[in-house]
Amino acid sequence: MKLIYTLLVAVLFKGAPAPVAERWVIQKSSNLRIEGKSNINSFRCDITEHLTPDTLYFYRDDQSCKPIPIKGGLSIHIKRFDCHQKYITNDLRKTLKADEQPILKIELLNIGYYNGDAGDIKGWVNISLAGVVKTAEINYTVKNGQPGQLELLGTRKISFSDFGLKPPQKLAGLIKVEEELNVRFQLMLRAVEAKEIPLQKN
Amino acid sequence: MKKIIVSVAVSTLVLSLLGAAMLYGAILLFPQLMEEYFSPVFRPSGREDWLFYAHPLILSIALKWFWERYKSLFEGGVLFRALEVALVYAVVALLPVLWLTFSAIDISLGMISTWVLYGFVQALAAGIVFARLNP
Repeated sequence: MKLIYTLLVAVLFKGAPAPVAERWVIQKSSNLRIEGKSNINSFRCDITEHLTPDTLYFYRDDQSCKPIPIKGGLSIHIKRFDCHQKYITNDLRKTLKADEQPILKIELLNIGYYNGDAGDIKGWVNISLAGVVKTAEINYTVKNGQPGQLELLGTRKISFSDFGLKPPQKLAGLIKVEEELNVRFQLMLRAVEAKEIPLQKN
Repeated sequence: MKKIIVSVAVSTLVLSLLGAAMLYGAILLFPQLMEEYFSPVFRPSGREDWLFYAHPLILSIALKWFWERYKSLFEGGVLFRALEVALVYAVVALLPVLWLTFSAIDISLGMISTWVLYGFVQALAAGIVFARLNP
């Protein structure tokens, strides 16, 4: 009886485990794609070189199952975009002000709680493009493959006007790129350390 | 004077519709060629857009002047006379100017060829309008 009482007290009064930070490094195999349409045809712009190997910190709290705050993100050189069509590539770089603001930044803010593989998870990011920062909701698919590896697939529709940009138009607007773009990124993450690091407040 | 204004107005309307139809037709038929319009040599849409849309009017006025001055030289049916006008316009105006354009600006031969065809068809249409309204 005493043992049961002791265990009960221990369970009830034990403080919840503090959230811990998982540290993940973005792998070279990660990629980002922008898909768009003109009234001529559709186009797809890929990053031809690997993304900068930044580190992401996930502050996971398995007790509360709340959305997981994230620290870190991606930095992408706009001039590395290849739309596989010479003229679209050049025009899009110019439209995105690649000379004045060469870096597209996606700062991950949080992701809905997941455990193992999960689809249709919501999360929030800050997108910095052409000198404008916009907070946007992202749809994620999470794939927890091998231990220590994580794949995040994120998609989001954005508009040129969200960033104060005007889509390319030629021949007095008769030939034009549509306002909406679809951004997809695939982050291949590798855990830096097997053990978890205690939460550090930002 | 009224005849001239009516002819120019009808021609402008016909050339505007024909121009749009040919452009969208080319987008359907030659999408890869049309992508070249995204080249930096072409002006982005902006304050000068009206210049582009005024083009059928400018061409109609020019061809109307030419028609009134030289229509006596063109004999035969409506279509034949219009064909001669289009041919003269293509050889005398289009070819030398587009030759110069091709030599100075980085555009493809395919693109220039579509402009020759575009101009020829426009002059043919204007010729038909003038040959019908002011024979």
